[in-house]
Amino acid sequence: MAAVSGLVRRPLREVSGLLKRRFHWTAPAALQVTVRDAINQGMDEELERDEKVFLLGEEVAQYDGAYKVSRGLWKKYGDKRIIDTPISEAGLRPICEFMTFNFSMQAIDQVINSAAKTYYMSGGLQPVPIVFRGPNGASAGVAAQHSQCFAAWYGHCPGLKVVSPWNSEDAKGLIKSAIRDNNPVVVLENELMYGVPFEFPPEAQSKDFLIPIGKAKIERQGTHITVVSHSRPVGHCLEAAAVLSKEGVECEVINMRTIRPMDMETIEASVMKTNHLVTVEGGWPQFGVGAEICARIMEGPAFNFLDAPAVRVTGADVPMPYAKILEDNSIPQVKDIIFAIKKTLNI
Amino acid sequence: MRKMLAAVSRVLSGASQKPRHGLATLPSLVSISRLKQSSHLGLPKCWDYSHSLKTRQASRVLVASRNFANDATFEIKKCDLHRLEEGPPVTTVLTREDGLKYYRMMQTVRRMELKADQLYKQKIIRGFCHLCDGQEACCVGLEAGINPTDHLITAYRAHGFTFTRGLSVREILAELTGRKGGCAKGKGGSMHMYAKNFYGGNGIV
Repeated sequence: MAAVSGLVRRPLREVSGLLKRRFHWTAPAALQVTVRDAINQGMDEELERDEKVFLLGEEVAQYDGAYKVSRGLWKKYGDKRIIDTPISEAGLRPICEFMTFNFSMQAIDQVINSAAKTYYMSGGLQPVPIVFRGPNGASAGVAAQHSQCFAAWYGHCPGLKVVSPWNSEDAKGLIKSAIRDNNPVVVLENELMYGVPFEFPPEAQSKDFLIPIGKAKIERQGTHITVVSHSRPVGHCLEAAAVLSKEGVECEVINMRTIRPMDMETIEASVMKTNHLVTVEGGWPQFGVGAEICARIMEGPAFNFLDAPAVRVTGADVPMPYAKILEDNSIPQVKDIIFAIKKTLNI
Repeated sequence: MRKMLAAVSRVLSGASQKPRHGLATLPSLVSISRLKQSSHLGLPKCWDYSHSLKTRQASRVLVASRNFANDATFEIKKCDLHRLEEGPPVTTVLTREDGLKYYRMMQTVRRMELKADQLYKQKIIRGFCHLCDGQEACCVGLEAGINPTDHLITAYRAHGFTFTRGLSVREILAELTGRKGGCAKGKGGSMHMYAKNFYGGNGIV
């Protein structure tokens, strides 16, 4: 059947090759999956595994999700598990989707006071196994009220776990770990990453693929400098590392994956090896993720191994402007990361 | 026919003179706006009347020579009152002058929104673009009911309100396209337009 339809569509010169093919074909070794599909897959598997898991949020049901992340889930699981308006019921494990985390500010009292603090305030009696997920940080042209990064805001609060996936593998593994975790977890996705395909290793295709919360990943090994980042800027760091390796500078790029609890062991071990540190994030500089990393490096054993002060590359300290030229210059670009690395290394 | 043409030529030659009442009400509206940019009608100063003025004047004189009413009375549904002696009035009169003013404002908003729609589809306007073509009566009607010194705030569908609060179409479109000449210098975008006594444009609702 596939060969027949192929014959119709393909040009004549390929027909002979087609006739040699067999009907049955194996899946390609390197599977490309977008971040959106990875999150969808992760949620689908968890909804199937545990009937107490349900998804609620704006447009998640019939509209298939504001960014199509929950596509197909309403058709599969129905109204009882995929809900367009929030309801509070006991014993359930909700996944609450925010259209963007900027809207979570309307609900932040519930996220912090009702979700984050409850387990502690009740002396361990009342766990809150909820997941808050949605796009975070700057998008394209959405201006000041829709572009804020909340990694630092949520990372500040004890009682919450905060994760920030970069690629598809991160997205699937972290959303599954977040759903299975009995604590409130904030999953900070990125709208611009939803449509980006990444290679999906075979172990990630399993239904029990979990990425432990609180563990960072070294995306690229290096010897000269440690570059720590989370979410979309990880891609920019890898690009900068590729450019610099042509000049002989080998950067070690760490994808934090989790903001809270932060994996300081990996970062410290890396700094003790390379002796230089640059942090990269999309959020504002003051009281940000980079500031916390630098403070903790200072407090730990890695400080004695630093050959130069650590440098933070962050978003500009302004509300996100609308005009494209201003917006492009308000978020860290590859050239800014390269500049910071060269400044730290004094080259 | 010849008499009508004579009337037209009389009006055209008298365009720069003082306006007469009655039959010449409509042409005088056009001529005064041309001179003083319509300040006596409270219309925004940005409107450019100069092109095709004479043809429009001519057609308007021909129309004005028929007998249209000068105002219309509308009934308003009576409100329930709580601890009040008198409520708002139950009838209102819309004069021809006001009616035309509102219509012109609504048409301008409509054209501006349609253009913004086109620019958005061409990706010249980025991010969000919440339009109010079809809902122009909301902003125009609201502005008619309040004073310029009253304070106004709205949600993200703000282009029409920005116009009725006094900003020009040029400033609004410049803001939408991210230019320095925009009302927020290109930094606000579609949802964050501010004017005197107008506090935006808010995205999170």
